[in-house]
Amino acid sequence: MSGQGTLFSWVVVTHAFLPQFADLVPFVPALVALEEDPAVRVATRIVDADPDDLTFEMPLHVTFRPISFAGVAGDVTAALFTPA
Amino acid sequence: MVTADRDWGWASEYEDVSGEVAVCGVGESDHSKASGRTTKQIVAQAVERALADAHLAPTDIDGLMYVPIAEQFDVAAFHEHFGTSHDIWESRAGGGMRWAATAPYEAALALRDGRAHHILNTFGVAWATQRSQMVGGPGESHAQEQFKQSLEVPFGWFPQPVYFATVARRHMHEFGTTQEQLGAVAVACRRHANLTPGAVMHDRKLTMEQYLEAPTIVAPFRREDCCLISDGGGAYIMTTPERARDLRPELVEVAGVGLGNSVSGAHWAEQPAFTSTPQVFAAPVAFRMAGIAPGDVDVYTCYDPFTIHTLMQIEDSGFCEKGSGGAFVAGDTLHYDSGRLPTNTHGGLLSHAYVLGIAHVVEVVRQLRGEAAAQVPGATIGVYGGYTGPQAGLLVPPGALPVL
Repeated sequence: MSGQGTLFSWVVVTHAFLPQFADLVPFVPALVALEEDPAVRVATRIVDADPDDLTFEMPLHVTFRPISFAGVAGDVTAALFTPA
Repeated sequence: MVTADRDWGWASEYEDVSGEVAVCGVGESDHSKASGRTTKQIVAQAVERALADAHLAPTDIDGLMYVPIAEQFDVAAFHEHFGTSHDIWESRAGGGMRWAATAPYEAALALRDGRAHHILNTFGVAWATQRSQMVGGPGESHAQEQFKQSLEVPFGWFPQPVYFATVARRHMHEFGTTQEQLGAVAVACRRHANLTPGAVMHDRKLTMEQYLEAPTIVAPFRREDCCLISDGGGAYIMTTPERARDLRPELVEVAGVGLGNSVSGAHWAEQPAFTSTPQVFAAPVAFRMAGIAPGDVDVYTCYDPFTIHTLMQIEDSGFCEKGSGGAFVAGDTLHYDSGRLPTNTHGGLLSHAYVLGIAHVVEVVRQLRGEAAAQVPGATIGVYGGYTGPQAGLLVPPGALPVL
């Protein structure tokens, strides 16, 4: 896997539907089409980008970050995406 | 784009049941925010009203349909509530959502071979009460799904408002759909709810200006793009057209039913036609069975958890070309008095009540009888589009024929 993909669609969450996500708001859940097969869309989050600068099909690359949740001990490493 | 392709799903094989089943009674519970009632209590109230509407006694009901989720009103609940003990044919292929559209198909087969004579389909939820207690609710079934639990929820791609705001943004990109066009769906539903006494949002107005000024909660969605969470339920009773004529002065027959299926199920991230619904597959079957075209339809109700679903189902059911749904719904097209495609004339899931489609069928029946609150003048052909995500059903009850 190259870790490259393109932005298929995204949203800007400003209301935490789950209490565990309250600390993250606002955040940008997105579907990213992978370079190897764009029919495969991974659910992820876009980080290090202003939501106003996002565009359809823009190139992205993977970034591995620890994610944690309010009220849940510890963290895990997750594949997030950032503009290439 | 793959949206024009038809290789992402299929239509279920349905026998022709046109004219074999009629809806002879409809009822709704009171709709409200958290009521403190259980699902079974809520549905029982709707059933009592449907029985009164059909001029039937509890002992006349010998068929009961429901969907086995969220403590629905099953045969044991029926007998406990009414103090009865007679034999009742039971089917779990009923309920709300797409099943509110396809239950008449299963009922037609049961009527055909005499398994039952008066068949009740019900659905209800107490999700407003449960949410206030932080249990249950519409997100629960998705949160418990292992694939989503591992690959979607941790990233915040959850729950339904997030899924479908993602779809809406992509639809805007592919077809030029605008925020105002989504707003037109919300405003039409609210206007209908304002005219409908039982609607949860009966007393709350919504103008396009208010819609556009409202903050987004999951951009591009505002709160007004999202359905209510409410307590409520509904019921309808089906029988043969011959028996129905003896029960009520108007006859509402079912002319066509179709069921479409998506290969990717409820995993919307992977649905090849991301901005389509399985109505693409259901609608041709239902309209062919009914012998009518989308242009013949006087009143339409559709499962509308979010504004984008009304727009997509209108496209996918053939009321307009794929991609032109935004332009189609703009202005007053969906309003009950527009003369074009009056849609969700009770207010829908957005503004009437979140009872997952069962009240949409009740509304179509009332429209065809000429007794709706926001009555479409002279409505004789109605359609309910029931979207669940993995599947979509289309029900075409074509007529309220006054029997003299």
